[in-house]
Amino acid sequence: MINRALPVLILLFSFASAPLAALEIVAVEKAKVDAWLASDSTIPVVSIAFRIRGGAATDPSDLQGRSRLLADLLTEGAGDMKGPSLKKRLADISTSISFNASQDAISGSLYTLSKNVKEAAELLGLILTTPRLDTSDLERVRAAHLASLKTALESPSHQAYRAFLGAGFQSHPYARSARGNISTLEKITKDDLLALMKKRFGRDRLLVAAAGDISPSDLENVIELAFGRLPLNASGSAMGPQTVMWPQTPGRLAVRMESPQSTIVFGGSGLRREDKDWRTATLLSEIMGGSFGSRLMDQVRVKRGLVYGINLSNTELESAALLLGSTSTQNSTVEETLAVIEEEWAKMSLDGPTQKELDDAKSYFIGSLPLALDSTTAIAQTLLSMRVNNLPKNYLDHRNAEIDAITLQDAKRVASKLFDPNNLTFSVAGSAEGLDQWKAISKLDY
Amino acid sequence: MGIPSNRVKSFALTLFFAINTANLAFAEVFKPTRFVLENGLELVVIEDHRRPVVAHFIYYRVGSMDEDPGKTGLAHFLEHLMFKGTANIESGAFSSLVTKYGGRDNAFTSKDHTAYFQVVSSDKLGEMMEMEADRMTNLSFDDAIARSELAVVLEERLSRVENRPAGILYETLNAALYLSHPYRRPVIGWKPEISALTRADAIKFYRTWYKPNNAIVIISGDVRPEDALALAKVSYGKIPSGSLPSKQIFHEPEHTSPRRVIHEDTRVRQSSLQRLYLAPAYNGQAREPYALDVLAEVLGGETGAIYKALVIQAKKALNATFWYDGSGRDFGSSGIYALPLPGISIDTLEKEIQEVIEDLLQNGIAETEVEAAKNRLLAEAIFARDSLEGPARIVGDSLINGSTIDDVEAWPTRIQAVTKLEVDKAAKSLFRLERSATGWLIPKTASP
Repeated sequence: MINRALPVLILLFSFASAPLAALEIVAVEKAKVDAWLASDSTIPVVSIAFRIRGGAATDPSDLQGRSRLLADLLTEGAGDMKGPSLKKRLADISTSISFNASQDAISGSLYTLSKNVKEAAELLGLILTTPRLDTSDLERVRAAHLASLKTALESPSHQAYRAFLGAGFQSHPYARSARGNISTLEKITKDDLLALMKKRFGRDRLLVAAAGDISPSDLENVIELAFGRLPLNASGSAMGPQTVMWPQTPGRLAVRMESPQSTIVFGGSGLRREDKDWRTATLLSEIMGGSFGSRLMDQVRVKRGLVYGINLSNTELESAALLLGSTSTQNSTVEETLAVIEEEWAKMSLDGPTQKELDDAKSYFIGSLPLALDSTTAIAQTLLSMRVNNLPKNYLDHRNAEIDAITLQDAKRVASKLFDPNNLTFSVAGSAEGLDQWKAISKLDY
Repeated sequence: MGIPSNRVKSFALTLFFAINTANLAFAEVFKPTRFVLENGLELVVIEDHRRPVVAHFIYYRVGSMDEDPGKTGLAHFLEHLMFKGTANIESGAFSSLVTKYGGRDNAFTSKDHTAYFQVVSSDKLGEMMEMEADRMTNLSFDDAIARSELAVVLEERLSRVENRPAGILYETLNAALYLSHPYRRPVIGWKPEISALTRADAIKFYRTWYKPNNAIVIISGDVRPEDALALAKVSYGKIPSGSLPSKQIFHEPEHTSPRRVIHEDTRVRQSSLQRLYLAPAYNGQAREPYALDVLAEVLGGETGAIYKALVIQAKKALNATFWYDGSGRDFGSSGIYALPLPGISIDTLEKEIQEVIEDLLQNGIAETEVEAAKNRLLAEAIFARDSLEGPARIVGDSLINGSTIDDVEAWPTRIQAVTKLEVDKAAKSLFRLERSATGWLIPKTASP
């Protein structure tokens, strides 16, 4: 089945839309873990989302890929249950438990039938405190990661992102891929993984949110079972990576590789969640490169037929923010595509959005609130995002007013800064014509 | 890696149904309400009042298999052009309005159908239905727009196929599996045939197939069925029904010989094997598709027997899985996907896979495995309700291919009724090499 538009790929952590005010959030505390809960018993399912602060960016440079390897290995066996029996048990009680590592955190989710939530929580507790990390499992998961990385290395998209982030973040860990690289993946040992858990897996670094068919008192039991046996404090330092700003390095980077279509990654510095103009930046990136009707979609795809999809978003990390966009076009039209993006960028910087564009973008953000909550898991993830961003439970009561308060003057002021021509770097991977005149970046082979 | 988290998706892949009179109402799934308007348009409403939002889908019973020879890609090209405005609304304005409302919209084309949808707050449903009904009859765009959109489709093809060695292999493998049936065509179309498509082709296809009596509207979310019906009457209800071409019946000839496709590519660093089997669709009284759903649950995924045999025990593969999807007007789809471990040749891996299958055919599947798989599938019917768009898609995908609401609702009952012997029998009928196409994706050393 093929869609009219590609879903926007979220490369890094991004803040999900917050819930509508009708969502009643209660705080539940047990075993020194406080969780947010939005109960709804319509469907007998429960979703729990949690996050342990510290992710791939905190992996030592010779152990890159360690957090993600651990994330995938955790469900391969725990306690006296070896991989297949743990997975079989989870499947038989219709429970999904999965982990993922981003640059800033190891996140997990649990999704189950409400009648099985107690056993599911016990298994999660076992996984978090006594994962087996058996050699045979480690080798298998490692091999899968290596294979996946090798495939990614041949994709223009992976190479374009790597070059772009490499130029922007330079020696900061955000320049690296959370996947790690071939040489580091090859040398990670079980002890390295255990050391990582000791450093990061503590209740002091944990955030939890839950949604679905569960009462506050049942959630207390679940918290106790799932997280109660984690150490109160992890041994690692509380701080993540130091705050980093995306350096102003406008220019054009080229990764030459064999491909009928080139991938273009573009953008520059964005605004962090704490910035007073953050909300304005999200509106502007929607106006510039959101869905159909945005300036880039209109000029690059609809008017000229140059690409299938193009997107831009203000992307936040714990210690940095990016204005990050991407698109793909056949090699012969790369120059033309870049010229259009540059022109639109300059226009936005000079004139800002129109009043109508601003009003429509506000309307979009206000209207999209309830639509972001279309499943139990989406609700749990949204609550977790609010917690990650230190938002109060009543945040929703202010959110729409905050959006409404943005003036055209604000938008123009922020646009002139965000879309400054000096805040636009291009990275192109493929066999496009004219790449030779650009700053050559070697295709990563590891 | 990890436990599959896409439960709803796996349900969507398996929840398609045979027409079967035995509806024991063991466990209803979505409790949909169905209406048929005077002009033949079907309306199905699935209530979910958790949030004040709705998903509004329209499915047309026309897909890439209905294209004339030489016109591959036409159904999908038209899907793109459906966003180009009508006599009443400018190009792109429908989508822009949905965005302004905070909603999302999109469309998708398959071998069998073409569908469009919007997800919006429930108070906007009437407006969505008006606009969707409008573009069912009033589509209007000029040559320049058609040419520009054709370029977009060619870029889409580059992204999906030419840019991805796995995409290239799949396209050829699919064409090798079907000897005559139009399922052998890629939905996006063959490049030279896409390039030759015109505005006139698209308009002709549109006039032929886009009619209320060839469409099903499915709404899931916060709306009462009678309110949805009233809105449908004043929008879709105004469009007269039209004549439709009789559907062509295709006779796939007997398959006598296994097919093999080897794609070597300098961009490939990790080999992979993909095998497709000719598989039945949910169609008629047959219980076989339900048995195959159970078979796929036993064999597929990380807890499945294929993974266990090849990855964990034999240590020949990095990953190995089996799937079955019974959706489709004429055939379902089924296959095996495996990645060899470094140092294991793809030939060795293929032999190993064949041994696992033959062992299975000889010894059958354990009764306990069948029962456990059935229980897991039954839970999927609960998870499937935990979504706004999911239920509408499951119902739409089922009904458009000839299943009924009763079939959808009886899915748990029919899964429950599957026996070990039925699963063994379905496996024997599916795993026939002469009805398969096996693809290898392997590295090509650059020529000096």
